Amino acid sequence: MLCATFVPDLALGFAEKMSATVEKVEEFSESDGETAVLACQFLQMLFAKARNSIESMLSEGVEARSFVTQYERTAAELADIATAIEQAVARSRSRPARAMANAFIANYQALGQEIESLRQMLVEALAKAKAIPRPIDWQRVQEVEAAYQQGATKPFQRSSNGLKGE
Amino acid sequence: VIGGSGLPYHLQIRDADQEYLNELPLTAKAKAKIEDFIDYGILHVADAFRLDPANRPRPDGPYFQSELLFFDVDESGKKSYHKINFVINDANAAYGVLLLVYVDLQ
Repeated sequence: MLCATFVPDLALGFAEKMSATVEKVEEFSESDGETAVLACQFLQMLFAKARNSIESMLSEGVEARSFVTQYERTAAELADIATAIEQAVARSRSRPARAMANAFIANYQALGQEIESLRQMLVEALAKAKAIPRPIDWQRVQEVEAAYQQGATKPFQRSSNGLKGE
Repeated sequence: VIGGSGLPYHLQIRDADQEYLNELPLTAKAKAKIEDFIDYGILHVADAFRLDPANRPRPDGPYFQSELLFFDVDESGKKSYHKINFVINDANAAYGVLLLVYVDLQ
């Protein structure tokens, strides 16, 4: 299995290249524009795939500290790219461009929205993961240890349908 | 000797903590994921994780902790993130026995 950050890393690498490309939008030929639009659509699909993959992982549950280690850097990089895209789109809107270049800019903007959506999801999950846990109630810990010494604990047994549901 | 060598530990739990887990205000699916985590994250905990000082709340105490991050989706489709903190006494880990001493959902 590929590492958990493979898709986000791949998408980030492509997106960085795209940010450099957009500065040359006025020089785009018709063919360049078509290629750039396809690249944007491919990237958008990659980021959507990354988002689905991370959401699926979170719905299964993940060790909180491991999640922070894996995705904190990714969230910061997504913020940089989303900002770069927003600024590039704003600059390109103020310049005259061919129709295909305009199509590219529209797709590039949609890509930026996809990236921002992924970033917001990560920021929300990371905030929860990094939230400082409530202090451990050591009195309660001692009570459990006393219960164990008295034989008043039981082996944990997985129920057939998960914990008693609602 | 069981536990720590690929074999699962036995986990002891007090009735009150079992009831706490049973009554968590989560969907049945989320509760099942918590059971999954108890299975793979506690009963099958790796020594590297268990003995990592970053996962031990008291440097000289026989405890490690593990936090599960997950999201739950209720019937209306509302998504909410949760974190549940488990603290485990591993004084008898060499004999394959762990004791759940504290659990808290945030």
